Amino acid sequence: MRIKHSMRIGLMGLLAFGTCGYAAEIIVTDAWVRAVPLGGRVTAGFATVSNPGSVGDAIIGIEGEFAKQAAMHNTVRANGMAGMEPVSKIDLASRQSVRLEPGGLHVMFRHVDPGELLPGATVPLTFHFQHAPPQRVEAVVRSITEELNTHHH
Amino acid sequence: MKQLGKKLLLGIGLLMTASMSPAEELPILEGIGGNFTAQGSTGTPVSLKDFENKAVLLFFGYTNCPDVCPVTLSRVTALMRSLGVAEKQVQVLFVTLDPEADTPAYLNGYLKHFHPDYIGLSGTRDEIDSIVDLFKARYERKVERQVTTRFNRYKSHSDEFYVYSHSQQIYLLDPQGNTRALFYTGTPIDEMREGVLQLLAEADVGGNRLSVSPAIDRR
Repeated sequence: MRIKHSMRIGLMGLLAFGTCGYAAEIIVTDAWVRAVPLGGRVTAGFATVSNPGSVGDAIIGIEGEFAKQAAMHNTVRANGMAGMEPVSKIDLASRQSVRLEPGGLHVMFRHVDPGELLPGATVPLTFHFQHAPPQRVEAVVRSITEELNTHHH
Repeated sequence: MKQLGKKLLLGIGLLMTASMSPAEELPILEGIGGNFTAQGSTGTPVSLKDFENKAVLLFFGYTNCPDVCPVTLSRVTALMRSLGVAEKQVQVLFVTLDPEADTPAYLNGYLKHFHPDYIGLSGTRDEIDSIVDLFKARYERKVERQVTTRFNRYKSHSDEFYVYSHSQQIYLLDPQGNTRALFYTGTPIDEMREGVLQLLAEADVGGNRLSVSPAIDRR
């Protein structure tokens, strides 16, 4: 009974994969991590994540080998204050993309190795999804100065 | 009459220094700010009064903040760099909301990444809270439990840490410690620059008048 059930799920997965290919089609682009001040302990990572498939998915975790801990957060502004709220998953509706960007959704890395987070370096990030297989991407380490020059005019 | 003459002089000074036409003096924002003493990242106690020949940019934050605080610090640095020779007439004070983690020594190393002259302020929780109260700032401290633990590689680290929500004002203070303008993380750098230059021109900060007899000159 139990086996049958899981087979059915597997079959559905295969069908979904064959027809709309959601599992393989999550696209992570523009991944980057903020360079860490000397001796810094935390930093944030960002990316654009697109789901061109017809089935919804979600990011359920993002990890970086340079950090011992990672947590997804949203920067929220309320009552004249800005702060971070933990986020357990980031929904990826079908044919939608989500931007993890400064002042919004991001992954916070704790206990980082600042030596790996020098401007210009690349570090691997692994994105974990609810349905699609994990995806490993190279993220560029960017200095805040560079970031400000790109985002502000 | 004397007042008018002074205004005129200030006006000329402003035109020369800032090459823009400021409408009028920045207002004094009563009830916001005041003198305080805290543990400086310099390794010595620091009082606001120590900067009576400078304009001061003061704001609150904490170094375990990955998103907003480093951007604020960098934008303030961009502002400082845009001031040219006037950069030396402005002191940046970063008051930590997380004194347990941000010791004076730690702040010293961290802030050097942004600017060699920034001073961080730490102290006891009570000392920090009294500065927060003086400046009518607000913050909330929350314990966060890891939500993505299954992707953490090292379980030996504590699963709990503190995150702070806090008000985002950047306070522009004159040499007497009066609050003269409030900026925010997102305030355009040109706008902040204009405010700082206007204050510097008005107070003639670092110039002869002020450093000779700052208190008398303003009254």
